[in-house]
Amino acid sequence: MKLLQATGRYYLLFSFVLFVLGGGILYLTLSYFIGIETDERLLDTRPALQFQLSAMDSLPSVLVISDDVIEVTPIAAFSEYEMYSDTMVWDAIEKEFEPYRKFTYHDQIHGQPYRIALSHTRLDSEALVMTSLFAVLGILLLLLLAINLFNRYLSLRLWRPFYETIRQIRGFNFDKGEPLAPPPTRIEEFAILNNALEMMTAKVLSDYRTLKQFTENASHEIQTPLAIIKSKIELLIQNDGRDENERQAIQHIQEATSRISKLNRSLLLLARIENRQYSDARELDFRELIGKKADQLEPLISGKNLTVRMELARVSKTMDPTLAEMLLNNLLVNAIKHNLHGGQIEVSLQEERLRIRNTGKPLEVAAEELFERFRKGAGASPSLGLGLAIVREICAVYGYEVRYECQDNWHILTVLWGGSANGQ
Amino acid sequence: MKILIIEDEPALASSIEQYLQQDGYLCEVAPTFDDAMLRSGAYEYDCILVDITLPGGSGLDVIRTLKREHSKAGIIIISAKHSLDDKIKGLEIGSDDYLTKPFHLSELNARIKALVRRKQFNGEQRIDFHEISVWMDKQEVQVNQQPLALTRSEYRLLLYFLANRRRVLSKESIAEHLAGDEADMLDSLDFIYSHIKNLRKKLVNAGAEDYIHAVYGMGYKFSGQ
Repeated sequence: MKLLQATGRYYLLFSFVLFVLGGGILYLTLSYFIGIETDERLLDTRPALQFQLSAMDSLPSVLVISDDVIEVTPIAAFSEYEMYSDTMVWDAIEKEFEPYRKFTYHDQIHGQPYRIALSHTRLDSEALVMTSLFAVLGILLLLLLAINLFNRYLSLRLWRPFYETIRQIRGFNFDKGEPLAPPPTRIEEFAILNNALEMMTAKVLSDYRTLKQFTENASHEIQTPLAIIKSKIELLIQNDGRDENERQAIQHIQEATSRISKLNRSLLLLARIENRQYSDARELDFRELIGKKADQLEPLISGKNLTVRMELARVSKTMDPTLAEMLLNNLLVNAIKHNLHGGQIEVSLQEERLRIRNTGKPLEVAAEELFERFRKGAGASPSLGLGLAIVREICAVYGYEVRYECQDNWHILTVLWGGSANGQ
Repeated sequence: MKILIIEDEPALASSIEQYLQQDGYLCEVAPTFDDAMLRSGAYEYDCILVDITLPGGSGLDVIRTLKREHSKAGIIIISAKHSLDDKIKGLEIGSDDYLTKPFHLSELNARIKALVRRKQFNGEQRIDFHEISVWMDKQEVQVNQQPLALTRSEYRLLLYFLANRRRVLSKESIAEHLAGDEADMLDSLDFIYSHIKNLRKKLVNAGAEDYIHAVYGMGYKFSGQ
């Protein structure tokens, strides 16, 4: 339920209560005052009636003068008796009882005590009450309705900046790196909210950036000591007069350093992809790129005695050149690395997809985990398991979809260029 | 041959210096931006290795100054930054090559040799090693004046060995030289065996001595003894 609806409902409920209460109070007040008015009128009639009755020779028991009904009853003793009461009187014409106000009192006419009951119809006054009531209630209803509608309109107008702020929060994206900038508003509460949000998102973004930067800087800083270690190892191996143990130690150091170095480079790459630092966009001829890559990797291909078949259509993609190269490199290296000696690779590039098929041993990890970081086959493979994670990350940047399938001992990796054919 | 090493990490600079000196190069080290500007302005070098991030300034500015002064020195950028942008920028302002840290000294050595050769002996580019001759411009190899057909990998392997004669080359350095350092073929450097085996066989069959020696646990060495 919207806030507006909720307040609207309360308003309506409140209006209803007010309406009923107001109606009741109005009815009671009007009835009360009109009752007093009637009673006063009856009382005022008394002297005139006294005069009239005194002028009569004989007193009838019932006398009807216009709307008034007068009953005169002789009584034994006179007293200061006065009483107002409501009564019903049979209307012979309308054939129904009608409400009357009755004023009963004692009077002396020609020195004889009488009880006189003076009744006045209440139909007039009730009609008056009802008319006034409806008129006033009608106005009240209109007023409430108008107020409600106006309030609704006003709320919609006043809450507009709030909804704009919400819209911006929804669209907030870490990768864009821009803090929220809601439009200025005159409403203080919204201004406070907007201000708080601006500050919060700016802070969150800066923290996020710091964190990402840290990974990148750390990886970057590791490069130099690694370069020193590698260079020293290379100087060490020049002396081939070492004994078996030393040689083995150096070899192990060399291999471990190599692993750190590759790992670090991959992490750095991943961090930079995530930081969207590869944002160059160039039209790249993928057919040419794949050809070049295959050429560069030829020593690996011929070293493993692989047969490569390529069916490349002319396909261009707008991508960052580093990422495009990395994508193709990792896909091809993956197909070479996990191939059998003397195996086959098929590369097929089409308008809608790139598919790389290779022969190989059955998969050692679950297919869906293939693209996870540090996911690698069992055994003592020193492979990092970052190659396909990088592939996935690059595809994510450009909205490509990457899929793995296995058919008859062929491993198939497909990159679907998807709808966003022109990247970012 | 004189080489200026502009590198602020003394340990790395000394490694490079040591490795290159063994090949008979005269090396000087400039650890700061000011030092680099001073030396490169005052002396002639055949090759200058430039680290981009230096105390006091950017290596790129050193290169710009060198180019403005029409220096004939070959320039190789050695940077920890692995990005195509930096590479392109570096090459655009006039550096001749770009090597990403961490690199192999043998790779650096091969690059320096190739660069100096390109700069100084344009046209006739011949490398001789005993009975083996390589014509760089034609990519031709002769053993005892007889042409020898090599695959591209074998040819590059031979050049790499020739650039690093009498040096032990690690398998990893050979693998990276052949397939590029992005290849990440850690789990299997086996592919280099077949290339080395084939090259060796072809050279020996053509009448050359067997110069390729496996150094157990370390790598390979190309030498006369």
